[in-house]
Amino acid sequence: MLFIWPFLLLAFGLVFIALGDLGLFSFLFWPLAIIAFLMLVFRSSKTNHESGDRLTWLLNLRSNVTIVSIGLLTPIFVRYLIESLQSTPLIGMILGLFIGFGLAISGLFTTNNRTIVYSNILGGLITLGYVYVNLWTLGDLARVITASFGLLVAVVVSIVKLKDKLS
Amino acid sequence: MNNKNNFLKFVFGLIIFMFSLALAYFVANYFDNAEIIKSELVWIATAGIYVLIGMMVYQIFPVSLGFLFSADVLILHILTNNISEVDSVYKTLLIGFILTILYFYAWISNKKLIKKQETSSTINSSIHNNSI
Repeated sequence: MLFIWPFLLLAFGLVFIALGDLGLFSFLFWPLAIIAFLMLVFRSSKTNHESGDRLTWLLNLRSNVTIVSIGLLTPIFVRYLIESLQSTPLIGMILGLFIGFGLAISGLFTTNNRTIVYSNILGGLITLGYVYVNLWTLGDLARVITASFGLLVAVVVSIVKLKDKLS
Repeated sequence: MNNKNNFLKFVFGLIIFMFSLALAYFVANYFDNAEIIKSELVWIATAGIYVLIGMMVYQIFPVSLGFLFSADVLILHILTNNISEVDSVYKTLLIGFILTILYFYAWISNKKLIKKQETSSTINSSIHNNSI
């Protein structure tokens, strides 16, 4: 598992390169990537004080790097997907909506896997934010469809999640 | 003794990383200046060779990691320079591939973490029982 590190750093670097490609932080993405990585290192070592184990610290660090990479690469993936479906933007948006809601909901209902829970919730919420912001360019009908879809999902999830507490 | 060994591994890994990176950039500059091959093609080829070497010598992990991290830097440099020229379909495929591997790793690593936590809790409870 030691050899996952080069791949994790590649994925983490790709996050900032893709953000630069999208026009976000394009001029300072390397310093930002290094600062973000150092923050993750310190955050993981902070949680390590409780257990005092170097292996746990490494596992936590790898988990945090994975969460940030998945959480930020998912909306970038959706953005590129919508760009590549330029002739039919509504289909791209609907796919983005499905991916966003799917990830957020699976994050809410997953148990026993901290990395997947946090990365799905982070990635799903950012994807949904991006899709909803971009809906304004597609007209009234698209807004009505996505708002009603969002409401339906929210109601179903609330009922399932809170069923035990409310009954 | 163990700390000293770890320090040596780190130093040798770092040396291999720096020299392999320097070699890649110098070779690329040489070919570019002599107008034989474009430097980016040399970086791609060198990154591929480094990944192969890194996988071949996986048993000596400081050497392997030194080469793999060098390949990382070269790939990220190539992507930084050229990502805006790549078609969106290929970018989608690239990020989709990276996400698939990350999810696979997240799924696998969690099993290990749970196993480790179970082992440490068993050890803690046995220590507690012994002290009682």
